[in-house]
Amino acid sequence: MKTTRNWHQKFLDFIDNPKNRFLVLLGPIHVVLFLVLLFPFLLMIFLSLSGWEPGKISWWLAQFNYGIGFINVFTDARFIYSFLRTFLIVAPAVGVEFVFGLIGALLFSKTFRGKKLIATFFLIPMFFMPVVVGYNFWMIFQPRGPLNYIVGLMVGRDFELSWLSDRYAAIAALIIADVWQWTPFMFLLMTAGVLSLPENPIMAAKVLGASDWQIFRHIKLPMLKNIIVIALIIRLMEALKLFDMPFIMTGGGPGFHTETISIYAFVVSIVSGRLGYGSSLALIILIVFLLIIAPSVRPILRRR
Amino acid sequence: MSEEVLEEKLGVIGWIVIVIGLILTLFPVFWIISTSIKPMGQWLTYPPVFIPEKIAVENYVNIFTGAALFTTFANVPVITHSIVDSAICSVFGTLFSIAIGILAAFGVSRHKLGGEFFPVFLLSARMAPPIAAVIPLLVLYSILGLVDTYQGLILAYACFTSPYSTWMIASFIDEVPVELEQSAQVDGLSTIESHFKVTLPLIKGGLVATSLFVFILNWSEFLLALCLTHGKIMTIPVQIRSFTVYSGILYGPQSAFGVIAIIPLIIFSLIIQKHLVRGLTFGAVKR
Repeated sequence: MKTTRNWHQKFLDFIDNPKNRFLVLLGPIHVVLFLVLLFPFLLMIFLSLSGWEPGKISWWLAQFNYGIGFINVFTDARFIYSFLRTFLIVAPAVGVEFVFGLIGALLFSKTFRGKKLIATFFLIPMFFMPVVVGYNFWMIFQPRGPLNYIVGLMVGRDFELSWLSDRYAAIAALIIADVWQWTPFMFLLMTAGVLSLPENPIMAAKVLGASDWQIFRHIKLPMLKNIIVIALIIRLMEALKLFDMPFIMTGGGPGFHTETISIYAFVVSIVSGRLGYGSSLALIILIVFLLIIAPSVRPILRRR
Repeated sequence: MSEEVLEEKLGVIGWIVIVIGLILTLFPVFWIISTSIKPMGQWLTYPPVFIPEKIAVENYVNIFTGAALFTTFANVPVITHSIVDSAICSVFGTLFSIAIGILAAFGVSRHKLGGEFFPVFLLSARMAPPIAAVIPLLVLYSILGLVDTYQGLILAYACFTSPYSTWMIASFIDEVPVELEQSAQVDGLSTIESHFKVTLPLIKGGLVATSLFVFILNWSEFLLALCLTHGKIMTIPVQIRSFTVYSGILYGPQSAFGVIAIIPLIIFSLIIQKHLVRGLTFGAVKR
């Protein structure tokens, strides 16, 4: 009994010692991050420099490949195209989401009946699982699906665009699906921003006879700048990972025409099992992303 | 006075924009629900059926009992297994993530541990594309024997959501004045005790919100589950995808599955609506 109390006491002392604070509070998260992120990261460097793949030869027999994997990455046209394509999908999608979200937020700063309920309706797409969104839009975009039927009614003749097997229409379809799902995110954040706007400057401007557009352009927009930057950065980062939705909707097809960077890396390393080359790809992707992320996390951290 | 000046009524143009927005937002929702209650034979017709005359409950029943729809042609897969797997992985992944998140949040918020580097490191861990991490992780897991196990997926989920839980909880802790802890320390509590006995009960609501938020992320996660499991364990998103691959014609049951899969997400999101902004921005925008 006495020894247990001793141990208990010692444990408490250990935990409460300021010297051990880092170990106690940040230790667990570091163990997990190390195991799941950092150790694999080192493994990734090893894999990409040796081209070793599990099951072929023992790892200590793997030979240094003088970084041939990285050279291959940069001469891999499919990689370069998938990279550019990701931006081609993400940039317009995020832009449209932002504009729609901002318009929505400005409309919702006015009063009208059923405002709360309508706002909840507008948020629904965000709660959908990306996989379900992909499947749902896959149905909607079928050549003889509901969308073509409705467009057909509007233009007055049969409209048969096979959205998902035309290389340009497929890109548009992915953008539409992304906009549908993530406009609510922008709407939510812009609403938070608009609600936090101070009343006095806006009232003063109104008394002085400023038009709605002038108030928006010269008062609201500058004051919203911070939250706009944060919203765009977070959405852009999330969007660049784009995988679930295109994977379900098109699987990267027709051909490779909707293959995003994540899908290409997936195809190389999981489908074809080329883990060595996949690692080189992943490392390059990671470095490029970190180069974009590092300067852009500042505004988020500054807010805290 | 100020209320009157600022309270603007929504004009006609505003209403038109909102109604168009509502139609565009709700049509896909309507479509998946309507497909899920269409009987076989109306899934693919042209012109498409928008509102079925008879509600086909069998779509919802079949995915739990399994049935041979075209006799030998296509079986409706049973989804019970994947719901159980998803629940196990999401719940334990969430608990694990919250546990390490609470500790780290106290470290970051109360002791400024980790300095400048840790916050950036944590954010980058979240923002880097998971595919880059999953490739070497697969190698590591196959060495450790963690592929296709609950432990493996739970560990991965805990890691990938830990930045969210840390930031979100830290932003709740920030709102509790340090003075409360200090006065408790004067009364004889140690620093750590004051964290857990004074501050933690005060942010209970915040912890619930964070847990639900992290649960939502884990429940809809697809890429990790797809790469780290090979069929023994199958989460809901992976099974939804396998529906399409193996039996792309089962519109009705698959839509029913989709509807069932997103119900918990919608309920939970509505519960934590107030805190959604905080979660989505890593606590940077508190509203």
